[in-house]
Amino acid sequence: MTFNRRHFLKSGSCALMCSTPMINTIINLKMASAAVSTQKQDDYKALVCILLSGGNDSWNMLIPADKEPYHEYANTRDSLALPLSGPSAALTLTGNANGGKAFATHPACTQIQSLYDEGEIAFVANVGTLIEKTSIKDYRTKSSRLPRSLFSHLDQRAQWQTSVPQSDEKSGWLGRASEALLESTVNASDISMNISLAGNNLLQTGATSSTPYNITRHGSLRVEVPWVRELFNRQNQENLFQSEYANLSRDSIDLEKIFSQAFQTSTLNTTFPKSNKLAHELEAVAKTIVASQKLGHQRQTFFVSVDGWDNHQDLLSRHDKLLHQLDEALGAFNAALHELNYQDQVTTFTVSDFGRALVSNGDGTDHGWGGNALVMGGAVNGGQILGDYPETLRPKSGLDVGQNGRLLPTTACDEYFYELLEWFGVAASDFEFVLPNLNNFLDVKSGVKPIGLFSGT
Amino acid sequence: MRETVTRFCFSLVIVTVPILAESSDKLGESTPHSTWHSQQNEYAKAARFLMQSTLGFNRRELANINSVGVEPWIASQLTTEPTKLEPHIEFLASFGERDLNTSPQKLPYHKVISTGNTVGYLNFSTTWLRAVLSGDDLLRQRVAWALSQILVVSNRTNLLTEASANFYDMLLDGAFGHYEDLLLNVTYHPVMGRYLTYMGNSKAIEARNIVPDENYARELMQLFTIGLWQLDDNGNQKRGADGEPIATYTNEDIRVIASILTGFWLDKTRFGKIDWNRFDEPMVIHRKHHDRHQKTALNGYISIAAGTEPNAEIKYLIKSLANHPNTAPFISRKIIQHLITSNPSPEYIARVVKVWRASNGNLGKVVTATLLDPEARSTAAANSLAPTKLKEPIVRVVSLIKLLDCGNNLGKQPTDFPGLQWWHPYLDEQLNQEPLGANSVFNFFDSSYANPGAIADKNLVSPEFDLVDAVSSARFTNYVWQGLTLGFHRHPNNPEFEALKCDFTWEQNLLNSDKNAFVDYLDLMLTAGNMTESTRQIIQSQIDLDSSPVDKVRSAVLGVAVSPEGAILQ
Repeated sequence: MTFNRRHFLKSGSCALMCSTPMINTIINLKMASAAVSTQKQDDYKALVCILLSGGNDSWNMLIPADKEPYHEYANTRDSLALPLSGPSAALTLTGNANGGKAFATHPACTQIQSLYDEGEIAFVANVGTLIEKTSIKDYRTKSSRLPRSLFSHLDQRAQWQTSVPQSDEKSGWLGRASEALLESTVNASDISMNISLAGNNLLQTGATSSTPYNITRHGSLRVEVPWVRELFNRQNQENLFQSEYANLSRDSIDLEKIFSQAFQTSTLNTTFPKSNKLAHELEAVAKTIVASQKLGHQRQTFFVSVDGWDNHQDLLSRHDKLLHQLDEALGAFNAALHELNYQDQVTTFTVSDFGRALVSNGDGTDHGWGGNALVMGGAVNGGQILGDYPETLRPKSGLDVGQNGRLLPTTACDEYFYELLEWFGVAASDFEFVLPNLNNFLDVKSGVKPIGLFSGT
Repeated sequence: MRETVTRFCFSLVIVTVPILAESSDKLGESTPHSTWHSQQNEYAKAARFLMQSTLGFNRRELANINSVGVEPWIASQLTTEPTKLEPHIEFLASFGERDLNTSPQKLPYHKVISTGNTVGYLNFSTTWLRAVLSGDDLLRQRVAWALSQILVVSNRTNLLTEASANFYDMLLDGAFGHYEDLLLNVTYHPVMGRYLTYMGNSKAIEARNIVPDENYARELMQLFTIGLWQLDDNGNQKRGADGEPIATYTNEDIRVIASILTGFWLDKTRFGKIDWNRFDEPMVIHRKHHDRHQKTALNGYISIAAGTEPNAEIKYLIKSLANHPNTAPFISRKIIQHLITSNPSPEYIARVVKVWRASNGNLGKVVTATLLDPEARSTAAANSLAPTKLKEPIVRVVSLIKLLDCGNNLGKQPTDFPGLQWWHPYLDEQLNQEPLGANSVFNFFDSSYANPGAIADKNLVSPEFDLVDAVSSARFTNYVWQGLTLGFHRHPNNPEFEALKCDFTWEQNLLNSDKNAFVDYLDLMLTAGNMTESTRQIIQSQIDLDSSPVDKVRSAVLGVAVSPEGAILQ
């Protein structure tokens, strides 16, 4: 798929990655406006994407708790099933009554449980990669086009980021959304509005070569030997790889000056848990949100990633640790957003390679397809299980595309991303560019929201 | 470029004397001065070859290859015995449980974990570096390093340091053997068995809805042999009637192959009972837990009769996958990308594949063909780009340590120079790479990564660029600078454990005698003669700005090492 370049070409802004001639000018502008306060921006919004890298076993994060569905769940998962009673029981989700059905979450998710019940967290059930509407009959009769390389980590993780599962697309939906937003949003900065704490990624790469700006939990990183910049300041490299390497190295030095100036004055009173990598990274996200005005960002996206979710073995104990880390980090991040009074303007959501197979391989699970995602924020229609939780978790029945309980998604990634982006401010006319498969699922002009992720929509 | 060569030629008249004086004294070299002078281009070519075929080289090794010639050098390297890792790890283990931070004796290694008689995994970097620096098996170490990024295991999750050394030694042993044999050994190795979770993988238990673990079945095909898409011998994807690429397997194939890979355990004693001391011996198969049904996969390409002897099944499976039409182009391409260029031409891949097929996947022959191919030896553009790749961060750092002789006086026995250490709690964050320290089986970087912009727009890939961003490029420069000033091994809280410090005496002498000659020397050793006039001027200005001789040397080395010409192998 080739995306057209109108967004980039029409825009004079440098809010995506820009190559360099403008940089000195902008640095001067920044110095002149150093007095800009860190006061809250009312027209600001951010999307924070947490990648649970490796494939979250989300069928143990969102568990059916009514008698018959739980019985099926427990039978299917054998020793991997979480109990509903006893000391390590799954936690009941009360929320807004879940449409009359009972659900529970993993016992490690105590803060998630509270935030769900308080209406600040929602789950999106059985979401996954699709090209077009696909029923289980369509799957069996091969009458729908299916995503490439289903069940493969690299490919499925990439497709969650590109939302173009029929090809090796090299741009991501947040990257393209940012390019679309440049036309309508004030982002007067050299620093990309797409900020990554997990290095280069497809999600925040645009169709016109825009790339995210990378920071660590401590912010940007300064080169201790500044004179080396001269080595990267050449326009006429004979070798393409040399010139690209020089550009990246030079931008690293130049952009650090801008970023650190805005970031270093950001302060937070909220305490983040120690020895929790995700929490530390979300702390840096919160500080970057504080710095958004100084950075000239009216919109920001963030990408953070947690490794370790590919648990073919020892699932119960590893998943418990991972969800505990996620739970603590989300709780602290949400508290920080409340401290800043940004809770309604920031939406945090999870993605993963895929859901996992329901059936056990002894003490772990294998690669699946549809899975459950989690969305947090004041604007979110929280306390609900959105989308369609499967009627049955019995293998070889219902939505199982094979024999091991790999479930056909009932909500497409495109539908999930559409509602996030619509909230973020992407115009209806831009979705053809941002989510090219979206019209296989819905008519944007109709205004219908398939999931209902945000209140008032 | 011509300008550089001319200057290079001029300067070497002067550079000759100190280089050879040092060589004769210390290394017993007796190359005539005129060799260095008249063959400057040959030296640049040899340096480029060594950048492709080793993890770093010094003056003696450059002089040597230039005198013996590339082909005889490869031939002798193929028979050079491996410098193994396990003896040194065993040596560390012999100390028993010690903690670096509390021990009154300043022990030269990282904390030894008390459980399971296991050496702390951070020691692995030290052991790996000792082997790389001390051995004469330069090509073997380079190929094993590449193989460790193809047949990936990670001690970040298994923490089996001694067994990981045993695994790495297996890669060193198999680096020039048949791929099928190596893959069979890998499949039986407990470190892989544990990493990809098929150790303890049992046949299906229908009553409990339990099915075999698919992890190894999937990655064995996707990453270690046939890949996702059917390939022609030139590495291009085959296309179906609909114009789409053709998948090599289905998920049903994975399920069947997972059932073949059942019954593996450490030893013949109880299935599921771990003995941490057994991880350096091949796994065995418990018949009781092995699926004995008839199995058919890959459209009948794999077909196993019911009741076949389990080890025969595994051998047949590995043989079938190693000899699958896809494996030769899939793995050959990876080897070329690791050693020579990110974007080999289809013709280059096809030539190497031909050697693979003729030799039944003999890696010694495949590597030789990869290195001697006209495309590898040429600096001209074969298609849209001359053979080019970004050097890996670890390789760039090890090359510097080797060039500057920072791990000097290193002997070959584990007890020789035990003070050499190279570990850091955050080494992987410092360099985004660490020996056997990948985050997942997909290696440190994605082999299909295309840097957005000019590279992606030309449909080229640049795998190592996956590791380059605003943070890592600053971090790399800082890491090298701290290495040159404080030593390449640093302990965050204990300055007394700083090690791998560079001496710079020889470099200062050369600089004092002739500044141009010194820069020419760095140009030769770090950029293979590719230094641009612009970089040369920046380096020379910085040398003039620095006041102390050692700072001049450090600045110049840093500058050349992080310059675009130093970063890119072309």
